[in-house]
Amino acid sequence: MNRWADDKELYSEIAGYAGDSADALFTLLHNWQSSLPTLRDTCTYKDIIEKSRTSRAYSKQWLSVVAAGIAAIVIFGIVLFNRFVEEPAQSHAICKTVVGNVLIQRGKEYIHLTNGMEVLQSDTIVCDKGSMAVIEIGSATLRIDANSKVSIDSLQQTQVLSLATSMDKGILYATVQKLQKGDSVLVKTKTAVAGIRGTSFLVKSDSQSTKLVVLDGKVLLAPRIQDMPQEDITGVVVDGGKSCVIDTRTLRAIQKAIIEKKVSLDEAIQKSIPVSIADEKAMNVLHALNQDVSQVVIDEDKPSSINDLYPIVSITPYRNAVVVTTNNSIYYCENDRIKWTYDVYPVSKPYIWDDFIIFQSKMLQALDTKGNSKWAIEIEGNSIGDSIVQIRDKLVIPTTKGLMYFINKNGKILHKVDCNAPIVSRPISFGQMVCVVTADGYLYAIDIVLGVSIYRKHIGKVLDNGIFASYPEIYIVTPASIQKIHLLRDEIIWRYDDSEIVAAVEHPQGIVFATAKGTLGKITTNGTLEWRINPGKEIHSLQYTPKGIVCIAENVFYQISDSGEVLWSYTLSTRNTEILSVTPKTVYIRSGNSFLALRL
Amino acid sequence: MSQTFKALTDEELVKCVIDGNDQAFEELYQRYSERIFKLLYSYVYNEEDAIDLMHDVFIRAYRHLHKFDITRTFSSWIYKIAINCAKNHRYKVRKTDTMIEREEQRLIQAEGVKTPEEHIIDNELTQEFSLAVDTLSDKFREVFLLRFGQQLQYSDIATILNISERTAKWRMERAIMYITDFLKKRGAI
Repeated sequence: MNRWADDKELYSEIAGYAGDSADALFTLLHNWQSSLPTLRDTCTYKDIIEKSRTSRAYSKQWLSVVAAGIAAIVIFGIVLFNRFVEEPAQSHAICKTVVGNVLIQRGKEYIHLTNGMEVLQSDTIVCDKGSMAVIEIGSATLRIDANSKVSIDSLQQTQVLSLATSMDKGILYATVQKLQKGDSVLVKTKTAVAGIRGTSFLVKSDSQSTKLVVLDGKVLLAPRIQDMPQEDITGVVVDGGKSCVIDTRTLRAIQKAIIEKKVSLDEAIQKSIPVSIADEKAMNVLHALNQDVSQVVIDEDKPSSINDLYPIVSITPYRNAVVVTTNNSIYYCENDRIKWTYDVYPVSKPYIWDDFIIFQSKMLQALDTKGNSKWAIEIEGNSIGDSIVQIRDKLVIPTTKGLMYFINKNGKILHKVDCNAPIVSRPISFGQMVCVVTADGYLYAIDIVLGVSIYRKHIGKVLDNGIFASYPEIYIVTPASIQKIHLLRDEIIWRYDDSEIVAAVEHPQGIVFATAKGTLGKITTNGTLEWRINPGKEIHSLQYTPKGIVCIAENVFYQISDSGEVLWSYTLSTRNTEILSVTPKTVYIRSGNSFLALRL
Repeated sequence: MSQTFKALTDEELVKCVIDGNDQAFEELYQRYSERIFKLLYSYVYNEEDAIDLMHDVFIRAYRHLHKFDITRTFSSWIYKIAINCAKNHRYKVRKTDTMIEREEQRLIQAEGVKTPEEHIIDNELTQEFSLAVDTLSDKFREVFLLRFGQQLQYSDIATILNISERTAKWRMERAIMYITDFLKKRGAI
């Protein structure tokens, strides 16, 4: 088995993950390794073989006794079973209604679904565009809508009904009569599992998210977390009139909480999955389906207003409009109405350059403000979040592969600079240069005109987006300090030490920072602490606006003046919130499944 | 022991044992007993328990050697058995033991081999480090112990834990970040 080449490999790995703590951690790791005792064992391989043979003989003897006992019980059981119990039978699932083109995938075969046809365990029902099917299974009725694919994983009914379905994408409506004790009905999607107990509900899912709306009764909705057995995972209870969304962001948040061990798994789930009042439109659809499951037309994927969109990932204001991204589309909205939609999986927040909307999905793409594609180019790696920026006449795109692309407005790559490790900061303009920080703790300065790296220095772990420029000086924010450095002279002008700094934002008169302890402070340009306040724990979404600092602490939104006074606050309905964007007048906030625009 | 065994690969040794040559098992035992012991010690922090568990691992390996797929690596297989044994042990202990008791156990163990001065100067930080590793959840601790305790490559860790190499690296990154954070909060680094 291969082992490390030497300590250098170990050190470089630790340095990549631990940043400026690497030296200390490396020493501790060495001490820890040498503190492990050496083996002082008198046992030889012969003893092991002897023990192995003895335990095998013993277990064989023991097994034969147990086997005889089990055989007797089984025979007795079979006699009783045949006498008193009917043979278990697969429950009948019958197709009651079909509209349009609906296929059943049965093994390798595809069969057209027709009225009265039986649907079997392991069948997959595929509803084409404009199609729909209604299936009755004992006390449960399923309606599978257009563009949906639903598999019947398990279907048994003796005294109890056991139905498990899985849906990769689409819309499934189910209504289940009051279940008996032991009955089980499950709907599994890519991101969640819904366990039902006598209710009517609607599940809408794709590869990125699951939305559940409940008309009446209760549904237990549990997230599907990678590498974790489903039986260990609790869920949230969604009552009648409520709705709930679990998407990939929710799953990431839960995983993060588990890894950091700040809260228990159950707490992480309860905190990360908001249950909110269902929107009126969805409830109207459910009421109508409850009256007549076959006749209602569900308006599938045509949201008309910004309030119909979920889950909103980013908002980019543009003149009188906003460009909104969800997990699978970009929407252009004017006066809250959706003007056009572009179906794509955007991984970056769009950047608007004049009349071009530039974003990354599989490729780096530009759309005009009418939704027409203008160009698309391939780049290596992803530009995550809002890292795309315009500096002078070039668009600068840092990627997770450690590359910095400089492109012009026509989508032509002018320069490509390799920074050797994923870039973790938004590029900042610094005189003739652009500065970025990489995951391995290096600060790079790249000449904008020539497209070459002209400065590289190890500065250790920096907060994401934790560098700010004020030519010829630069502010560097780490979890433990804020420093102002004269970059050209390579000299520290001042350093302010604190602990557990979690976020920082540039301010015209210095830097405003938040700590994990729930404090917010302002450091002036000459390195003195001007004020410190304590809005509450879990400060995030810290941003600067000309009307003051905005942030969210726990579930409260704050607007804070330049002198540290709380101008106003607003309590949000859930802790699962994020400031998506700010303009001089408006703050856009995602709060659970809904979205708010607050006037400053 | 015959010198010829030393020249054989693990898998060739396994073949010899299956063919009835128990001496080949001695070579396997010598190659892996120390490493497996250290891995198990990192789980249980008790020398006696670690030795017992190590014996258990080799007993199981010997008993099931005929089931070993000769096209795969023996090291991955035996590490997999060791991890399963360690996890079972932790699960049993967890029912009766508390974290505080385990921490006491670890301290007693360290005090037994060091003078009080050495303990204070050298071991305080190592104890903190050890506690940080112990408080990692199972998935992350496994990767950490195999990578930094056993110095295995990610490709081997991926095989042992039946995960992708990417997942192993990701878990390692998160484990280091957690340990760093833990030690910083306690003023150890």
